[in-house]
Amino acid sequence: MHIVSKNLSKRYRSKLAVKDVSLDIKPGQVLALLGPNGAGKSTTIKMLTGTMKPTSGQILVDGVKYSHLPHSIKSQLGVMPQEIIIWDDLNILENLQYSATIYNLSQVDAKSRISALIEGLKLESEIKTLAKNLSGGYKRRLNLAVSIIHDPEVVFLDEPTPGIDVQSRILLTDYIKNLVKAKNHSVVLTDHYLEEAEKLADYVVIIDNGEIIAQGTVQELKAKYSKENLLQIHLQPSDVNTYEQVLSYFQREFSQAQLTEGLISVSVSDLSTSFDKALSIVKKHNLNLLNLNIKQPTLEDIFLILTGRGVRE
Amino acid sequence: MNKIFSTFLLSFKSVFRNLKSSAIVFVLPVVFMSVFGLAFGGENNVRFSLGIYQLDKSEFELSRIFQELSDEDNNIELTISDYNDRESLKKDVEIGNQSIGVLLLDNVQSSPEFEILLPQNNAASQVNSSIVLDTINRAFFAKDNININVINPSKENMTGFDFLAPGLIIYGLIILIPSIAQSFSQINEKNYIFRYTFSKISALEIILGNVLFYFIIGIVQAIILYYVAIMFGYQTTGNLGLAILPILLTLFFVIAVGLLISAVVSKSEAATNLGTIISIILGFFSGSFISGIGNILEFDILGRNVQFNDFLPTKWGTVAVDKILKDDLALIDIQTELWILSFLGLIVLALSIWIYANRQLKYQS
Repeated sequence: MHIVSKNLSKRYRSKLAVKDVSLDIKPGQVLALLGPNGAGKSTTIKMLTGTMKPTSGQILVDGVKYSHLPHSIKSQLGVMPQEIIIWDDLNILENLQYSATIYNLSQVDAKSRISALIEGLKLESEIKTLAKNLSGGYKRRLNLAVSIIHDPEVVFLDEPTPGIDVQSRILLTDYIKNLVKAKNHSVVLTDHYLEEAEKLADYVVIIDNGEIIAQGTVQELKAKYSKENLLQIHLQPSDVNTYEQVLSYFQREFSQAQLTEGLISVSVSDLSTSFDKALSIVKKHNLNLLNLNIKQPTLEDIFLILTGRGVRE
Repeated sequence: MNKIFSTFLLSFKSVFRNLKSSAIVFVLPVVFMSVFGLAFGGENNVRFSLGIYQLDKSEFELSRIFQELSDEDNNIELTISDYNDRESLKKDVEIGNQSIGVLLLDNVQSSPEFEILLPQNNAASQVNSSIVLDTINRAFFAKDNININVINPSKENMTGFDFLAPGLIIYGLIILIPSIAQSFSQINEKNYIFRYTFSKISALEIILGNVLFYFIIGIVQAIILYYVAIMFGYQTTGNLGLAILPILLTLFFVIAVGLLISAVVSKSEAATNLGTIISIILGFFSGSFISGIGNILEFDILGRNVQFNDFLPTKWGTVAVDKILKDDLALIDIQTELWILSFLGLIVLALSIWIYANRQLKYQS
């Protein structure tokens, strides 16, 4: 299944929540849709999965145009919500069996799918435990398992791993990778863990204020934005200088200077001149310099440069 | 069909694995029935009246043997009356003046012939009859010479509980309303609707799976309550099998009310609370707690005197069950009640399914 969106827009009264979003969800690819809170990711996902009608634009599924996905297409998608939606009073096996039934899987298919998911997501040890008594990590795994019980060709994962243990996170990440590699399925992912998205994504789309502001493979984005190095200045504000004051000193010389978690980040092309400038600001305002370093941008840095906000803001 | 059955099983497991839900569904109506049975019903298990007719008292007096039993055992409180003719004793057992009657027909001490009179469907009397049988066996070794005669109770001596029991059986169905409302509102509250949105189950299959569960629960509930009522002295000569039909038709309305609540209230706690309030009000107006309360709200429609509860299928359910169980009427005799029940019940159920599906399960566009 190949899904392409063309100029999808969504307007809520006077506010344009999503503007002209065009995406190509290619088979065998993980597409990461990244953006700060309220950027328009969820609205885009809702339109792509047919749970929200776009104000304008089109969705093409295997070349067939739709203004709004019909139920027959929706039921072929795998959609894992950020929220855990499992049947609390059923155990893991019963959750999977019920999910298989509501997707009309035959008994043979259901049996083999359930076995594969139990094995792949390592659910065996808790198979008879009621969902409501499972740990957060197991709940997330089950949340994914019931979402893809019907072995969908396109899977939408909305924040698949928040607040779970490292072991479960690695397991889920590996499972998603394998899903794409082994079966040539496509995955659309939104994630707050950019390190995780960087590992998983073949293609990254950064969205802010409802518009796509950058897209490409992780390597392409790095190549495009890493022409500029990142100068990170870690300061301790004195009694007279708050972080906001310190930021304003730097913004006079570096208009793109950002402040996150007590760290001033400046994207610079001429490293030596910028380094000297930064030190002179420190001296001039008698700032207490804790640390100063230069680094190649990661996906998180690129995100920060492009949006001016942290991904969790 | 498979999806409906699986959804039925899902509801079944959700209720029975949840202590609070199963308590509301099963324990509460039994508690109601027991409380009303104790308050308005007949005698209890250890206190009963015994009428004795003895043809010849020259060799021994049967009443003295039972009196000694009562004096010796503090747990047994007997009220013993002697009768001079067997017809008077039979009549008193029939109308409930005596719990059990004992007739000694032959006075030959080696093999005396006994007849024990028991009222039909009076569980308390039947339980207590074992005390009488034991006593006779111990005194006369007359196990083979005892004839037990079960007689129909007379309707002249109905207790208040006999009038309330059918309404309480219907109340066992009405009390399902909060659970139904809770279960349907949870589909949205717990966002199961999200799962259904991307699956191949239809709105109708979801509703039918849940509705089927409550039909079965309702019937089981009614049967349990029937036997609890008998235990507390409910005098019935009717056929429970026949009463299942009006019970089933009443369930249409009960399920419809639950669905309507969950169609307008999306939080399950609020739906449960609203369902509880509505079920108590319905119980009162359907004769579950006070027989005939609907009479206080009368008005005229097109020159006809109509009572408020004439519009409640649960009232007609109570009337139909009462006529079958108490008056031993056949289905043909309660056609009017059944037609009203079917008409009101089915209309409200169809309407509620439509409203619920359109308000809460509208996802398959």
